[in-house]
Amino acid sequence: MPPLPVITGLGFITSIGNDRAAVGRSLRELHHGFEPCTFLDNPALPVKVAGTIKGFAFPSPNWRDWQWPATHAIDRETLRGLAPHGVYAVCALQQALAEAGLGPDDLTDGTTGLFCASAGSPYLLGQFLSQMYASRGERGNPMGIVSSIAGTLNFTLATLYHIRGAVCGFVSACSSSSHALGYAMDEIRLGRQQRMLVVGAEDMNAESILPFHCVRALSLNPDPDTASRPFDRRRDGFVGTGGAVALVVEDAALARRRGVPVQAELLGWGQAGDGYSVAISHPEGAGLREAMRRALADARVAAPDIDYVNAHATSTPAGDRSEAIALKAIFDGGARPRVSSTKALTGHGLSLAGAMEAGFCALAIAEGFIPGAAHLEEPDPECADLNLPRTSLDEAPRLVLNNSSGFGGSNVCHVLRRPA
Amino acid sequence: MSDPLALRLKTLIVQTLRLKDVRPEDILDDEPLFGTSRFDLDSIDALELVLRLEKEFGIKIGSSEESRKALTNVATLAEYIRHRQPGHGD
Repeated sequence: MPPLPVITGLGFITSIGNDRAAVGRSLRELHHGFEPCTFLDNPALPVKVAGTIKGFAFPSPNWRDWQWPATHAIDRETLRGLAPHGVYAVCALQQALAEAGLGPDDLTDGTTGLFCASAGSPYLLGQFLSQMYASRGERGNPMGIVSSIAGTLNFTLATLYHIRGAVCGFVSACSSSSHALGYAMDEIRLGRQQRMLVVGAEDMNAESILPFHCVRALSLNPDPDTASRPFDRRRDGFVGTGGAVALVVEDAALARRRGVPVQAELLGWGQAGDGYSVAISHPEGAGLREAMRRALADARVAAPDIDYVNAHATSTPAGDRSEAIALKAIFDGGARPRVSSTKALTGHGLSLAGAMEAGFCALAIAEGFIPGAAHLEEPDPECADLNLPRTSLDEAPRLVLNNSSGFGGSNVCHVLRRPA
Repeated sequence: MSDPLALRLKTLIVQTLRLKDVRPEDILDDEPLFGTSRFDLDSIDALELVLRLEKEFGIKIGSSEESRKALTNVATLAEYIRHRQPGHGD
């Protein structure tokens, strides 16, 4: 039997809470993390809501001006190589390592790897390029490149924790951290690594969110209580968010030897492309359907055995519809697992989304509940056949499916299981 | 009598590098700026300071060796800038 990857540590910096307890409470009580926002000091901009991260401040590009919760310590050597999402990531990873009972000395012998996902920091990259243009290429912030480009998370976190195992970054837009988690599972299953740290993060600012307004993907609903409502007939786009989620994934045998609790088992994963459009999901969710099928096959799980699906559904008209069609195709024999999209509470975390929602699935498994489909009033007719609980349920799911989709029709799904 | 340029540089150093609990007038003209525990500044901070100085004074600080010498202390920095500012006759 190949090694079984399991989650032993979770860390959260999200719009719905900055630690496991707060996030669990928000998911159970359906408290969203949205606030009114004025981006770029432009009140005329019709994008009015975001999933804000509380307790942090990045008032300038200069790391010396940044603030984060006093519960987390970050040294200056690390800080100056970070983007805002890197600060979130360091905090989330500290939490996950503490929960897994791991100290810095446990990570350096080459048996621990690190896979990360973010889009980089458009904010810091913009600042850096402005300096470069102004000096016609002769001068720029010395840490500008390592703090801003895609890959900044793996550069900085691998250095901070002296990781000598596999280190890599994943860039597949909104399925990026799902890819990171899937390939981390494979590293363990193939016996290459005994433990993988998986981190997804995004900045949460005008530069990371507003580009999606240019493709008309964002909600223009100014009401934080209803702007994000996946599967609802009146949904009009997604609400952006950022933050970071860190997962400690390790060989179940190692977790057992160490005597640490297992939050959830990672049974299998699958991916498939739409081969259709650079920006829009396949209208019938062809790639997502195949990704779900492959994940279930990899996990050796029959579709009717799935208890809960954490849908990708971002609250866009086209995306939710195509996912609903794909779900109905997979669960077509009368099986109707509970389905919800926790983006109704958090907003869409872009590269972060997959790892964030895998973390939520692990929480649901570990703490015995199913997150409800928040803000759903009147389901879109195409989504009405789905089993969408309006409130969170005190039901302990045994098998959970987590869906993610990204630009270019990149679809990734994971199957998680409650430990026996 | 204190040198106005030296005081301006000290203010710039404190502001640019956000030195905590250090007032410009606390910095001595001849004390080392980098590589000591007093200010806890290193070569990355030095590069950031070079960026700011070039913008502030409209000068170019050339090689690493040149900037290392110029940034030894406030007095060497003031001397370096005086010799490179537009209108200097040397």
